[in-house]
Amino acid sequence: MTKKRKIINKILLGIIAWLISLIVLAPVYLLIINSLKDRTAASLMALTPPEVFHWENYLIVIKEGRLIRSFFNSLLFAGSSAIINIFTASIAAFVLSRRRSKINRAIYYYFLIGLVSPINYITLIRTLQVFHIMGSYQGIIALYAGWLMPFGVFLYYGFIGTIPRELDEAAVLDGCNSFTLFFKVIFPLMKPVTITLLIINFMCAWNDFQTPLYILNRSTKWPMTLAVYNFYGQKLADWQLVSATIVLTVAPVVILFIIGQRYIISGMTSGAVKG
Amino acid sequence: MIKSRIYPQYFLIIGLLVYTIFFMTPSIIGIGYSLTDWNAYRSSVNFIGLKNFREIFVEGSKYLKYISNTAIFAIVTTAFKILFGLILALILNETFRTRNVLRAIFYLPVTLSPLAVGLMFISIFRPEVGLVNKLLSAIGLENITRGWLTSVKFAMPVVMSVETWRLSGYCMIIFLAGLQTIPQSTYDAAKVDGANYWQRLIHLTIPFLKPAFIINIVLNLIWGLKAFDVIFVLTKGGPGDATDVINTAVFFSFSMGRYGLATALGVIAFVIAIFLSFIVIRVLSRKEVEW
Repeated sequence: MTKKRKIINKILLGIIAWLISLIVLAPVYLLIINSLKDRTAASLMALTPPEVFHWENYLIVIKEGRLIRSFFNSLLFAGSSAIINIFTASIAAFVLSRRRSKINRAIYYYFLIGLVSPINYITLIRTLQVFHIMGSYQGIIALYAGWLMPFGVFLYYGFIGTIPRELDEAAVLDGCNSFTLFFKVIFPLMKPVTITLLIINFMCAWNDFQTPLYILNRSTKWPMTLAVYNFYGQKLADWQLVSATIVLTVAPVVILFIIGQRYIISGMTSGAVKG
Repeated sequence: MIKSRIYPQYFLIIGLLVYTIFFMTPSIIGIGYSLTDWNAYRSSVNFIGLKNFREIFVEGSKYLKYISNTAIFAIVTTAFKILFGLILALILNETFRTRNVLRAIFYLPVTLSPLAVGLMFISIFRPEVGLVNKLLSAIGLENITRGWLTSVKFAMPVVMSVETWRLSGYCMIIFLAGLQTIPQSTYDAAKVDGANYWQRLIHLTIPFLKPAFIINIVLNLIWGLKAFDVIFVLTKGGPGDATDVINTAVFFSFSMGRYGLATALGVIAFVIAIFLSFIVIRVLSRKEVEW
């Protein structure tokens, strides 16, 4: 094959790929332009860009949809569950990976079951009632931490396996106890995994709609997803406003994705191929 | 060195507690509650044996339809996500200038909340002004335009295509990671032997991607089993119950106060997922990929 033909092939491939990408980009583009149109233009849902950019749509939805509170609720749920998960999963994976006894192997598998199994929401409500945290901030944060812990344990377990044991021995000889060994020596080494888990945990909790639908009744505790869904129910005729609220829920995650792309991909593919 | 001193077992306690209480306990007590008549209207909860399961599995029950809908949804979306994911991965594994941007674009939908995706596609499938019908009219296919989400025949394919739109990028990333593991020398040898692109794809690339296929199949089947947000937002299980799946049925049984029955449905989903998760665990805990 000549070099020229190779180059032409590559260009063709690029063009095909960009054409396919329109399937992904068109809905996103439509969402953004609709959020900036006036009511009549938005109701037509055309692909033409807005004649005048109505940035005030965003101010309206923030005020009417009471989105500020929901935004901070989402931030609280996603952020605190991620921090709890990072702490508990890393320290658990540390022991599980370093002391491979029969019982620890069983515990590791017990965690892995949660990697894929669905939550039973109805009995979850019952459980939360027993602890008197049904419908509370603590309840949903603890739930997210527990729900995403298997993924955390899995990621850390794999990574700790690559840290040489000699390091532990040297640290202990230098006078480390188990706490200082873990927090001063091991944990800082695991920064890439910690960032990955932080981002993925944050995204999962931020995007979750089903859990709050079951367990958060009071609108003051709603995260963004529920607030947006509720707003959609009220403002069906104002598609520009609904679009603006969708953009606002999606924006933090998209920004996080652009910043942390490398970490997300590495987390999502870890173990998937190499085992 | 004494392992129990440096790696104390109590480091596991908090993690195990949080995970057990908030994740495993509901699933386990669910098995007990699924055998009761627990509901919103009476304070007493009575043991009724397998009555809930009998109601679900009796011939001609609507729940059987939801379970088969779930299976169709899971299997069909998995097949298409893998097909598109593989095609995208094969294209974007070639080196050309904008491939990293394209990879990010195709992965983007995976990160969006399913709720947002559902709402976006509601507007796209609107009968009068939606993009889909407008495009069809523009290319002269007015006669097949319709209210997609309100059509008994087409609502299911539509929600399945939205799910495929959302998650094909995930399969692509897994395949791309798998493609990195194929040594270039093997390709070169095949080329020297005169194998063309398709022969190399079928005899070389696909066998190498076996682990990626397994993980994609199993994970996507499980996600299909757990599908809720997209369907709930797009059709609420309708029209009628054309797009109802296990999780929408759980939600609606719950809303009607039939907690015992809803729990029984949850238990069924849990059992299927446990079965599938054993495959995941076997794949994930393999030390080396054998080839």
